[in-house]
Amino acid sequence: MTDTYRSGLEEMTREECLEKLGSVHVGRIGATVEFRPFIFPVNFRMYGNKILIRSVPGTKLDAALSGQVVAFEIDGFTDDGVAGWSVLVRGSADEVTDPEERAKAEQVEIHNYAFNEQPQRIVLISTAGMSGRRYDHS
Amino acid sequence: MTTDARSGMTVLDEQECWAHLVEEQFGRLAVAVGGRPDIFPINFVPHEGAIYMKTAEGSKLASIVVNQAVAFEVDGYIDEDRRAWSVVAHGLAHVVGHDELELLVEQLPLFPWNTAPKNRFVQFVVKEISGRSFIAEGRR
Repeated sequence: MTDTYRSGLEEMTREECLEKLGSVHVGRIGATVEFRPFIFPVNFRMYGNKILIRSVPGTKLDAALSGQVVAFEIDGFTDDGVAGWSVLVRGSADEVTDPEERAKAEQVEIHNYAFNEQPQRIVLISTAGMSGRRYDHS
Repeated sequence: MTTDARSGMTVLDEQECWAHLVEEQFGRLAVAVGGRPDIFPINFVPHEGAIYMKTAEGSKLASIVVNQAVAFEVDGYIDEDRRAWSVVAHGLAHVVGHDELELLVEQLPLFPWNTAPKNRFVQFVVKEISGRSFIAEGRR
């Protein structure tokens, strides 16, 4: 909550960003496939300090998540609608393959409204590269 | 509206997608520069098959100049239907030049006309648009 480097914009601390990540369940994955950008809304949960996503093999999202560097974004407004905020994460998307780790990660409940009956991969995105901004429109 | 057999989601047709966009003013622009994806939250106005955005000079604008191919996403939740929806558009973006600007502003009175020196307009011509919706128990 320091560094007003452009008028009306405030940089958020890592702690604030993590707090925001724990407060919402819908984010967007940005990925590059053959030099073209793609964006996918996804349900997610935090798994430690990592973003946990489930994806179904054979889907575009799944292809975008295969060991590549992706962008991940969440945003929101304060209840009075006066101020907005956004958090952007850049990191590699890595599948959880270790059986023990996978069993642990499977305990994280994600409400997937689609593809419910299909086998899913569990993918984690590191939050090491993360930034957040608060926009004050008042 | 049709239902996708594999995902179980409702597929929105083009008209339904645009109908959602005109109700919204806040979306996310995805760009790819040097194979690196990036996402920018942004205010927008849809108009005749294009999406208009206002931005300052900076990385967003620079990304569009380097690679015009962009993707754009808007999503929302309709309380009374308990229905979550999302729309994704693909196409090409370009920075609006001075000659086009006057015309644009006349057509789109929705833009706040507080053109501080660094405000630039971006036109994103939509080539593909698709949308999905599904029943969801609330949304955070």
